[in-house]
Amino acid sequence: MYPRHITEDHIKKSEHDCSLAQSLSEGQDFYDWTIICAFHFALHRIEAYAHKTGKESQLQPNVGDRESIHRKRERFVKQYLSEYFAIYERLFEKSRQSRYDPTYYEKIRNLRDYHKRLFQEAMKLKNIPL
Amino acid sequence: MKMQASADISFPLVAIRTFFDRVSSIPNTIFDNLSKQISILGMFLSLDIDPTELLKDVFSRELNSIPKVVDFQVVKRGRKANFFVFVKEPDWETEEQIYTAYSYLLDLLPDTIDFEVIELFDRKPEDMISTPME
Repeated sequence: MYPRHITEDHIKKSEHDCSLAQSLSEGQDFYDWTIICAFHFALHRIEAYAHKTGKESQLQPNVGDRESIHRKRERFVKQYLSEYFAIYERLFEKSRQSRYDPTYYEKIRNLRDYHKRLFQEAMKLKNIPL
Repeated sequence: MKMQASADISFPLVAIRTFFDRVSSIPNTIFDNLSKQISILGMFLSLDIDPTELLKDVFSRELNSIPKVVDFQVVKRGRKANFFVFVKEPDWETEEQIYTAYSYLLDLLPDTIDFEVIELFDRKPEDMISTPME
């Protein structure tokens, strides 16, 4: 079960996550957490859009549902925000690896340009109409 | 027909869509005389059979055409198929192609696949295990 939220709650949270991602991206050692925060920024922009447009039920799990919340969100992005599909997938995958793979933060340390681009691309989700 | 490496990853999917559009407009279509691959596809779409073979046939062909894809694996889990795509390390252009192919596949087979892109760095595919999706 998830508590109900409104559009403004998700917008505020996305701005909070964005601010942290921005700060972390300017440092030297926290590329993994930059990605995680950028992903959560994206997630809340999408949730805000779903609420704004009255489609939030499409993101909520049902009892006995076999489909993960991520897959629901992914299909939602594909259907309604398709121009952001690739960046959402990319953020999800990198965020997942950052969280579950204890060596990932070391492996990506030498890929600064990639992650700088990833952060900049994530910020394009600010253009989602809310 | 073996597809050559190509930047036009939409080609077979356009053909599939065309095929499906035509088949779906013909009542009681029998697939016996069609090629094996189209037959698998037609059976899956019309008779609701296991999608794993279809995924291997169609999506693996797309992935094979992307140069920096090291390997891929399909693991059947109940009615779903988990697709693991292995790349050496993050690469923007490669990922763009992978996600574009995946996007087409989602159009065709919603609710049927799970999908992960796995960066190997200095590891091998056999060193990797699946992780939770959330």
